[in-house]
Amino acid sequence: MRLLMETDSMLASRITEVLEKALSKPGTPVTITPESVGPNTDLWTKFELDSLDVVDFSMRLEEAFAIKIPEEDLDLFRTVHAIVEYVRGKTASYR
Amino acid sequence: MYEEKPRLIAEKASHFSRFLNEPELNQRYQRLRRFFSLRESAYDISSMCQLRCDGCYYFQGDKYKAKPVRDMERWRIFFEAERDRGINYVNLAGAEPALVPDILKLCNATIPLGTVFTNGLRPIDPSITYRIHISIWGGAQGDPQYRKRLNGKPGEYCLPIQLQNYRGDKRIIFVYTFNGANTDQIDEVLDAVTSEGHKLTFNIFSAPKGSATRLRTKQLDQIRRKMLDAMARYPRTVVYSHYNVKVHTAPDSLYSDWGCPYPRAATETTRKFGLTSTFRSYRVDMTHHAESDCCVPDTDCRDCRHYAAGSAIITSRLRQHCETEELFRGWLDYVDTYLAIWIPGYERGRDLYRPA
Repeated sequence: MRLLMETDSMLASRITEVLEKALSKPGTPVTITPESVGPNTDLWTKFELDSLDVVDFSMRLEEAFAIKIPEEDLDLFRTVHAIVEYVRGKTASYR
Repeated sequence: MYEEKPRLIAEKASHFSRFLNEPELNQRYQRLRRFFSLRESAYDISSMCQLRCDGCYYFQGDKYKAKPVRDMERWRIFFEAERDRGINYVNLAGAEPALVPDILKLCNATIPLGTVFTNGLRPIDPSITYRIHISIWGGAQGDPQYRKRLNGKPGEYCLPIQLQNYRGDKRIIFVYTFNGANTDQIDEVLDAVTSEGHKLTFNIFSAPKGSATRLRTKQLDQIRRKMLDAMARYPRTVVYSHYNVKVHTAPDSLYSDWGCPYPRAATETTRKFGLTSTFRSYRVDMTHHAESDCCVPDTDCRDCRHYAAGSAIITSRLRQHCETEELFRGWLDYVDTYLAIWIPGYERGRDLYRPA
């Protein structure tokens, strides 16, 4: 229900929070600002994400948004905008 | 496909963060993450070898038909192009890569991280920084039997020559291939390797395509027992984990149990992601083909237990290993072992997996 009431920018903010957690390492927290990552920034390129980083990120997204992400969808997760669309689509399919 | 309710899914999917809340697991995971950025490919750089080994992936397939490139300038341009497409880890094989030292040096100067797969009969220049995997196929009785000379007669027992060539060399690790008939010969090999202070890891013979030499369940059981015994008796020599034993001696192949991320196993509907999109297996003529882009291109996937294949298959299956804590522990051990085998200077930690 919460997801349905969130604007795209609220969702994007939560997604970047998840990404921060995924990228942070002990002693080296990562902070992502709206200026540094726009809706269409290629996250894989910007943060040099490996496929395992993307799996890590996707599992954290699953937890944050209570969705199930099949492995074959992972290469869709390149931008915040694409993830917002994906999460919206997923929650719509649960209704 | 998505008929489950969000709440139930959330409960199912919540393990990953919970696992990482355990300091011991989180610490290991963070250590391994530093190596997530490895992007590898495989290269045949030599068409020559002093031996003809049973089940050789080079001479028993059709790779040996490729015409080798001898122009060093072409090799330089080739490796630079590989580096430029993001490859930062090379697997150099052959036939026998130690017989082409100039290509080894050229590659090392361009892409400094990788592994050379060698029979160990020719020393590799100390300036080469790669990990060196030296193959061993049995003791004094078995090794000459499975590795013949070019005229078909039994070869030399390679181990004494290998030990002499690489005395005190920290780049090397021995790779003992269990083939179902040499299981008990590992003892004499381990004694010799341990006395020289070297490390050893295990491989399991995986039948080439068209071969009827698959290991039977009874043989796999014997191999499993022998591996566990060796790990207990030679803990400082053997680089292997209990989870490695479990997945490599399972009744079904790695491919059957876990699928495979290599392009060779990809279907038309497979998404190009991770290893599937970047891995290539080049022949000695610098060509590669999607249908053979795999670390062991001529292996029958349904019998694949190869250590190099497992290094890609199991490590890439993080998601599947987050279903239970024990599986996640097993994955951490497997990746930790993988790095100890493939990355120079990496020391593996203690096993976290707790076998039932």
